[in-house]
Amino acid sequence: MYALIQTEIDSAPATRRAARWVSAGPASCHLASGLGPDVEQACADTAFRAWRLIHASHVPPLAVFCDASLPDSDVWSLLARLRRESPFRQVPFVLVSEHVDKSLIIKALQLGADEVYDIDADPAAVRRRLAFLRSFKSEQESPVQEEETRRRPPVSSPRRLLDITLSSLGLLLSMPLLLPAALLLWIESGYPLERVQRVGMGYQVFDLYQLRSRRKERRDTGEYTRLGRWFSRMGITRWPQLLNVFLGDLTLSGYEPLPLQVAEQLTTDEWAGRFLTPAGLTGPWAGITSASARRRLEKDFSLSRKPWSGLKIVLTTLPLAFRDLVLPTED
Amino acid sequence: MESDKLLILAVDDDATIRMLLEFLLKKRYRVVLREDGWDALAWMGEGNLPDLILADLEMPRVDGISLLEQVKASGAFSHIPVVILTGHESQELFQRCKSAGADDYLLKPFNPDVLYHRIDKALAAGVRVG
Repeated sequence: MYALIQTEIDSAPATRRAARWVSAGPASCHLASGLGPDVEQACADTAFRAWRLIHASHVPPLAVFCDASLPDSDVWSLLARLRRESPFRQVPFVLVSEHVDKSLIIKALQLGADEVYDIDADPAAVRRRLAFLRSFKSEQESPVQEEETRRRPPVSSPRRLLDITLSSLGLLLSMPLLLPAALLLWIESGYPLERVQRVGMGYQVFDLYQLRSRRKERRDTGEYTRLGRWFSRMGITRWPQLLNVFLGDLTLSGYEPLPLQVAEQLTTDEWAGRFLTPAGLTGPWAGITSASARRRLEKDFSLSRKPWSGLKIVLTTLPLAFRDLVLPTED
Repeated sequence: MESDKLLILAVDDDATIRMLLEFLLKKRYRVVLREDGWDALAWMGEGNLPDLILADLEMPRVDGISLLEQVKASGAFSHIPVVILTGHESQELFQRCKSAGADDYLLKPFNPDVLYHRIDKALAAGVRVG
């Protein structure tokens, strides 16, 4: 389409004698005259006269140039008239100024102009831009598609139903042990629950809940509290993650929910695909300590949309998942 | 303040790459995402001027090179730095982007710190209008 329009402009004198630029004001006339002799040009000294030239012709001009230095009411009323009348609505409107600044650009574009050029603009660039704009405007019938704003891509209903049912059941059944454990940790260290940031489906960052098992002030060294070590061995510390499943941050089986600093290293298309499906409470990665081995497994791991396949993975890996959260080692 | 942050227009037809770019960039900048050069030019044509454009090369309708050419041929947008982000390592493509006016060219996979550095460098070198 781009090439066709370019050809149309280049061959205008031979095929469409009425094809022309219309300019209002000396700066516009100067710029348009530099675009080459192959398209007729009509210069007017005021916006009103330019409008009469445009309106008198049956064929819309290839573009309209208008000086920004003309009185404001003239410039914007010419633009408004062009945008109101259907044969001229898609004609590119170019504002020409001796001094182009950001506020002029924004105002012109917001009012419906297509370009703002300095009087000394490169003619080849102007022609290239106008050829594109003619094609662009003729096809730009539908409004700009807004970027999807949903925070999470959809999860299939059966899977979500299964997640809600089993996580509710799990939370209920674990309460008799979870609550006393949290209470004991609170007595021992004053902070029973911790939240760590993880990246899930659609690169959404969420708080992953778990019982705090390590000393807060010595977290970097990973030193356990006395009770924390004991609860970790029992596998209780990760039970609060069932709440993440209930809330929809996790599904029962899926890719490993990664720390931010790991997720932001996976920057190729190949890895980005893993963030299209939900992160999981458990998955084939559970219980494997080597980070590269986890990633290798994930490469071969394609989550089925059938909830029962996910359930099979849950049943085979759940005991591993509920062991203490072993941080993978980079190798 | 959020409004003090510079505005990056990230253009990529791959939804997951758009999500990745939003994830990485929103820590430092305001981010607007568009799925191809056509949508990006339409959005800018409404009077939205980003401080920098980060664009993929292979996209439907208006690809990265055409987007770059249009931005650099424009009187309204030519001051906006354009950084090309692509998975294709090709000297020919690099030269095409360079001659079309690309301010930088970054290959995937990329280190996020390198991405931030290149963006900041292009922003610092960019011509400011008004």
